[in-house]
Amino acid sequence: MLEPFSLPFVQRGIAEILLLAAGAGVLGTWVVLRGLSFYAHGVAVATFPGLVLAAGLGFSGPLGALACGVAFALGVGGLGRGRPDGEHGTLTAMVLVGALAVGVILASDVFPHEASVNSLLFGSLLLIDDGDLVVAGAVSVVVLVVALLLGPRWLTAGFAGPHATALGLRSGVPTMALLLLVAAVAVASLSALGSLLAAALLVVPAATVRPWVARMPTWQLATVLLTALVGVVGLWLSARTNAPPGATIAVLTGGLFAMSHTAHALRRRRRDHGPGRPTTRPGRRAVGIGLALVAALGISACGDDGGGDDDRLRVVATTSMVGDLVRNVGGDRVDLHTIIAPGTDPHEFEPRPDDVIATSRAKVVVASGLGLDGWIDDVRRQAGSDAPLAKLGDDVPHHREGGGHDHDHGGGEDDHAVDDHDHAADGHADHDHADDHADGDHAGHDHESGTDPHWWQDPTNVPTAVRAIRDALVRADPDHRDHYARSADAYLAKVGALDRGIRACLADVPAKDRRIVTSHDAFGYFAERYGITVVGAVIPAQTTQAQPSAADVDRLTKLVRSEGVKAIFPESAVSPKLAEALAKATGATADRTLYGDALGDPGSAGGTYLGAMAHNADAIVGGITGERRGCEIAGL
Amino acid sequence: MSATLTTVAGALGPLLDPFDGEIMRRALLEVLLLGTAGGLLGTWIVANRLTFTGEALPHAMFPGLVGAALLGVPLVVGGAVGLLVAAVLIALASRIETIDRDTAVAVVFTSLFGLGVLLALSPDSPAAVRALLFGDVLGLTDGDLLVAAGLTTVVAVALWTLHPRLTATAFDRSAARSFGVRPGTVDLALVALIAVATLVCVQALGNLFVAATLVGPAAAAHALGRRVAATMAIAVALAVLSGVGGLLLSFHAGTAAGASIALVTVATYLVVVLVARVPFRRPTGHPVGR
Repeated sequence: MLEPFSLPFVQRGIAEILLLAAGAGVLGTWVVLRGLSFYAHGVAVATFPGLVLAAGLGFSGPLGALACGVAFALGVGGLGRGRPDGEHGTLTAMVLVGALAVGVILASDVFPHEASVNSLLFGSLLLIDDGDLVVAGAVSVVVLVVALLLGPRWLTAGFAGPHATALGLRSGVPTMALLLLVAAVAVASLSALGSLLAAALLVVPAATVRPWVARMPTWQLATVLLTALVGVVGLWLSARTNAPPGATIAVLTGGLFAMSHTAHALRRRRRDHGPGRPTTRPGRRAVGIGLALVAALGISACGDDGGGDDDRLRVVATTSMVGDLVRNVGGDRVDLHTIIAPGTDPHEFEPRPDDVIATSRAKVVVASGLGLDGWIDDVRRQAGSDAPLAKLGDDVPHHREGGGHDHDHGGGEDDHAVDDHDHAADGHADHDHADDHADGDHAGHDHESGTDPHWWQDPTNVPTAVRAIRDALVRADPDHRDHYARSADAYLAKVGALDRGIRACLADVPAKDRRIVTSHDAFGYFAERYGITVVGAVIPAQTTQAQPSAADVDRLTKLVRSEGVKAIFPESAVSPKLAEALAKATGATADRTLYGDALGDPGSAGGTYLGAMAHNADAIVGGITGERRGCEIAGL
Repeated sequence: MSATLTTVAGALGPLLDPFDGEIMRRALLEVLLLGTAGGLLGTWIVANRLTFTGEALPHAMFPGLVGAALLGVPLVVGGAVGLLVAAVLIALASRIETIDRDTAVAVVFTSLFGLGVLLALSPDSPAAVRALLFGDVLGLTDGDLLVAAGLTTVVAVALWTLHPRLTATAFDRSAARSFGVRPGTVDLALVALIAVATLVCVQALGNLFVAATLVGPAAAAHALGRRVAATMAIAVALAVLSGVGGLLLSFHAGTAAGASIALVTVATYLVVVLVARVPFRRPTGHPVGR
């Protein structure tokens, strides 16, 4: 029952939530009292541009978020000066939308090659580091001290509201302090809950307690206790049910809020209508329903623990692609846990408790590398894992420069066809570096994420990766050396057949027809290996918050026409709407989906690496020949 | 104001060529629909201080979308059901006397968004379901435009029908009650209409920017207009102009389409408010206090 609390990463999460609870709880009562709930939500979400800037310029995310939060507080507080609290809504909405627009433009157009900012929007209590704990503790201390000093002023301003100014109360400075504190707490809770759920910690517990308390100190104490309680219970539930902790806490606080207010309303109705009856029954019933819900969640959690009794080698793989390679080398000798589910975009990853637990038990961890799954380092640290980590992509023979996030993005270049041919020789079969080229070189992108991470799209990279897996498995489990060596050799024979087969298929297609447009640029390696030109990609950047510009789409439309591109290929894990709209506008086809970052469901054509590659080859050959040809590969 | 209009109009003349492509023409049509629904409804959103509701509803539709994907129902239906459930919950929670409406909204939307995240963990849910929250004005189909046109008509007709009641409620709640108008019902209808408008906005702007069109133009119009009808007309005009301006910005500066529309909308709001030099809305335009 209490087993989750013995896990080190759960203990860290609890420490974080307890530290946050003091500040968030006390401040939460002021947020509810002063009607600042929208502001509290707004300031958390408006940190987005700060996070993008931090990722783009390479400074710490919380710092960027804090700067944004302070700017937001000053913006709303300054513009709203002298207005009653209720007037903050419009301003909050406008400043919030403005900040988000700046953030999305930064992510789409200024730093399109930088790491995913998405994970920062979501946050995870499972990946708390010492810095987060220090920030949470410091913010709570500041909140407690300032709340003690300014509480009376906040109270007067709160009750006097619009009349405060008329009464001669100068509420400007204390109110600004309150807005700044809310910003600080919102930023501190980002790493735990993410920006969209920050209000679950900052607003909901105070609102839940509100009907039962009459005095401010009682309200604050009860809110702090409730915040701490839902945090701990939420983490426990999340560890039991393998759900993300942030969402679990949000649903839990929402449920408690409903119970609290239902019970209060029923109790009051009883008191009004039936004085003789015991007043606690409806309350008890509501609480009972709530407890039953929680218990049901807990029971459903008590499923399997992932059968850990056999002597198979425990291996963790990050992506479905890597997992498939491990499965082929290890066969039934390994007990494999693949972190990212098939069909899921690895950029939208948020670790779940099972992933951290599996990593803590694993004897070998295999990652794709090249910046695609850099979060595995955090997961290993939280899991306390010292198992060897193989980053397959780092050692493969063919690396392709082009940004971990090389997506078509062209500031103002019109003649991409020329650009293409210029760079085809040194490995740029696509257009995704208009900005870099404009800067003259790739100097700004030669760090790890400057290499295209989709190395497996070139099958000649796979033997090195398979051998690395084989060696890692043999080191961890020398008794089965022969088994691993045999499976690796057998598998590599198939990979060789795959490469020869794809080459044979494409050899029949005239070079001038080998032009395609993809959803996001995951196919540079494939294109390079098989002499295909990727004329462009529809999605400009890594994070799903990014959007293409009208200029991008217009340029792509013209390119598709002028280059005679016959087919646009949506990707399995990316929404196909843009690709379809582009196809409709240009007369190209967009009905063949490619497997880019993720494999398909097990059992589907793209469920394995070989299957996915064969499927892609068939789709591309079919697309560019107007379905006159396909690509059948024997010997897989 | 008229200066702004002529500037924008003057700039439009030579800038018609961005719209000669099919994708941009659809975007233009969508922006017209969006501006109409957003501007009309926004007037009441601002007057009734429902801005947070407008901002939060797109997040709250997440469980509806996931649910629809799991059940194999069209996603628009799931989104609509999710939004209506959220609207009813918000209206219910707003009746609680001990907390203000914004707090009620915060409670409802965080719970629903969390629920959506949990539902999306089901192995049966399609991978790209989260992507549904990120619409794109450049990726619209004829079907999307038809849905948008239909929903915009619903909003316009409903606002026309409800107009007397909305006016009564917005300007004096207690007096409205004495005329036999129930403010609670009117609120619910209004929140439900915001849900409808949200559906139109999400597919074009993505969930982050719905509030831009629903709040910005109307708030700017409030700084200019005195009568409700005039405010609405100005709001629609500003919303449409901001939308077209955003598309042009995106075309010429190469910036993300939805974000550009939001940015131009916010900039328009700031310019109008500064130009109008109205730090407060006059009491005639909007009730201060109760």
